[in-house]
Amino acid sequence: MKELTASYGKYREYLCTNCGCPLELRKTEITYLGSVFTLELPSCPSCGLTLIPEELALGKMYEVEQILEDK
Amino acid sequence: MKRARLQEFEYKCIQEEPPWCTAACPLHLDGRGLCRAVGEGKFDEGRKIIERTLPLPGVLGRICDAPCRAVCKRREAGGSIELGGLERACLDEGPLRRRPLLIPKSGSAAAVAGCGISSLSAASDGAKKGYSVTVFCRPDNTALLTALSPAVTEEIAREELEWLEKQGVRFRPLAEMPPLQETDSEFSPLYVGLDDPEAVLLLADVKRNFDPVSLETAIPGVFAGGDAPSFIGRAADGRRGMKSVERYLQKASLHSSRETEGPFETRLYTSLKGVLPIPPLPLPEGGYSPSEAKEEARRCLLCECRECVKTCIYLEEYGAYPKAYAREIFNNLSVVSGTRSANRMINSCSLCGRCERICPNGFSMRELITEARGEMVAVNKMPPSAHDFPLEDMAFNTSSKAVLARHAPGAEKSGWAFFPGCRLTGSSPGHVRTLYDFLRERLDGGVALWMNCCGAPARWAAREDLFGGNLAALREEWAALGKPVIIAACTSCLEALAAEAPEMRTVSLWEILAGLDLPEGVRLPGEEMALHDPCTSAEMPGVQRAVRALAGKMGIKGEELPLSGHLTTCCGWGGLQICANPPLAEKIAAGRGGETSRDLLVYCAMCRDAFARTGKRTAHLLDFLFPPGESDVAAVPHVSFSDQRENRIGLVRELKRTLWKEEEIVAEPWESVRLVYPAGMEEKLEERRILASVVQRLILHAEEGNRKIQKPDGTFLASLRPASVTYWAEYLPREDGTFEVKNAWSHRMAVAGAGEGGEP
Ligand code: SF4
Ligand code: SF4
Ligand code: SF4
Ligand SMILES: [Zn+2]
Repeated sequence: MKELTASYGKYREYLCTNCGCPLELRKTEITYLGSVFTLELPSCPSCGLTLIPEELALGKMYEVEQILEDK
Repeated sequence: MKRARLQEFEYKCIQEEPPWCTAACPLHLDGRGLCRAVGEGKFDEGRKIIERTLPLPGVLGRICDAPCRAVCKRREAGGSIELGGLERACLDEGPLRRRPLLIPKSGSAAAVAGCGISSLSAASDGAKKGYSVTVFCRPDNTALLTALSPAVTEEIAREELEWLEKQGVRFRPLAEMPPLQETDSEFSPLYVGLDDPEAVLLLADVKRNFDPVSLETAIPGVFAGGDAPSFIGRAADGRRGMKSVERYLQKASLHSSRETEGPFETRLYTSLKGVLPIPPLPLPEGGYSPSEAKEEARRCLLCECRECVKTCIYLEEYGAYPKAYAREIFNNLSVVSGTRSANRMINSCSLCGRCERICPNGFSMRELITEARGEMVAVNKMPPSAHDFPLEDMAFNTSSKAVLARHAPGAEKSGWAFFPGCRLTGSSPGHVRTLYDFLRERLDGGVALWMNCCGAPARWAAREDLFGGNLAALREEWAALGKPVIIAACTSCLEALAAEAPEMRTVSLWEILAGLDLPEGVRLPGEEMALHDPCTSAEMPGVQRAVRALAGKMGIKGEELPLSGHLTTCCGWGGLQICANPPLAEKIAAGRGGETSRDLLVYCAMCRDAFARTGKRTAHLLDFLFPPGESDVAAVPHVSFSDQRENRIGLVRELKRTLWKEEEIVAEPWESVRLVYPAGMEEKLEERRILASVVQRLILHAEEGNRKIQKPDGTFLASLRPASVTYWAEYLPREDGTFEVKNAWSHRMAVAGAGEGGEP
């Protein structure tokens, strides 16, 4: 999923409405069916609110979900 | 799955059994493969098949007397295939490859007496086993071959013998052969070909009752055969004799497992349905020309079974047949670490049961798949994405918002309970109300209304825990209603209840309706329609008859689809196919719809939605029995999952308010979130299985807690994780207080900082 995060520059213009902070790429923990990964994802540096963009959710993330489900 | 269980399944599917010709051939030549090759004009392919199977291919392939003709399946449709003629045509078309043997010498020696086709076949097989073979015979060792038929010229016979010599077979005069009793020394064991008179003399003093299985004579290690009138039979004896020689050398049993060595009866099944009889092309004295051979080969039925595959798009989709699937599933279940690549296949069967009704041996994919799913659930290897959505739907349908069990207003007991089922309630709530009014008016003994889920989704998902829990609740509600007879609208409910709770007496709504006078205002379709029976009705002939009787009484003419009634198929809902493999379910629904140009007439709400989803004009029988406002009922689009849910909630509330005068339940706060959609957005949500109610809750959560992300263009992004799926929505609050849903998606992975706070 690493290569995807390269195109995340545009999310720096997104704001966490609660904290007023622009999102930054931060290491975030992801888990599924007992597997744990860390990934750089756009999230609020203050409260940690994280965005999973559509292309990630329906693209790479979906593929990995399917692979893990067949393990 | 135990291996023995796999074998039980494997034995039932006879698709891999040999065709009749191959089974009947004493040497088991692949006649089907030969016909396929010749039919395509590939004579070299044909020669390869001949060379692979027959000893002395250049001779035998020209003189085979084709005993297969007596049993060839084509016999029943015009006449048997002239396989002998086809073999000869292959040989006349070009040279054999005559590849030298690449087998290491085994160090063992074997002797053969005689130079008829039987002896030489034994010699050839012996060389192929790596033995040093010595043939004792007359000096003109081609004489007996050329005497067989004018088709065997001196040149052809010579070629065979030269090849044998090249492979190390030595020819020595018969006179040099040591006396039989002494063969034990240098040239033992021995095969004696009885189609050579000089060889026969060797056995003059030996008693003539040879063992038919091993061909062993009274002298141990000496085998004899080849006196059959059939040329191919003589060659087969040679092969059998050399097999015995092999076992003798290995000191193995001369008898065990030799049942299918000679001709045997195949267990294959091949349907002749739709096969036009075509007579054989007469075989000219000099053999077929290439084009004649091609024509004759094309009459071959290329015998196989695949009866179930021909009628099931799912079985066809995965490219094989049940025996192969059983192995694949077995392997899938046995995976310890690694990829379980058959998971989706296992979850894509609709469990309709048609295959077991079509298969000559009753092979049941439904049984196989149900066992496999059960095992996957038991070891916690069921992919969550396959069944989460329907199971969540079932959880809702069995929650207080969707369940209702009441005696008729003012009554205290009920002889009947109308059980509409989840699908009709969601797709056509108006009909549930109308039916309930109608039944109360027409039936004596009191009619309760019982809205609940039969548990079929849990059963299909092999979630015995959920099914059992639900069934216990159903039993309690049923007892509380005084154990009335259940009038079920849906055959899936009938099937599940009859199978798992037979003490709860059920009857089909259709059987009840067929027995009552018609309601006022029945409408007729404009044109004749085609009737589709739901798959769960296949074993309910009474229900199918009642539907036909009712439609007849209404004056509706229905065309019967070629595979209907007992052999009907699934719309794609069954077995949760539509959840585990939506594209396949749609293909199957579209395939069924494509079987007729007429509009479909159905009597299951699932079928109605599944066909309508593919754009097939489909109406429910209730649309004519109790016509709604629309005049063209077959054109009404399918009801989305979101709308089905709202319909259920709405119906329960309406019935409680109007029939039982119960004060309205307080609406949930999120219900006040009003959504608007740009064009196409509702369809996108439906396809992504995102319910409107989830988006409403998501927005409420985001707005109340200010947990959202704002894009530069002012729209908001927020997420919610009610259970095991995180939902995202992109939305814009509008001045009139509504929210425009601009996009929505979901993922199953849990991400820190996303999808918090979802109360179920
Ligand atoms: S029809 Fe073809 S495959 Fe079938 S038995 Fe005859 S030759 Fe063999
Ligand atoms: S979908 Fe029906 S016919 Fe096809 S394999 Fe499954 S049970 Fe058999
Ligand atoms: S109908 Fe299907 S399952 Fe039955 S023997 Fe034929 S191929 Fe096998
Ligand atoms: Zn924040």
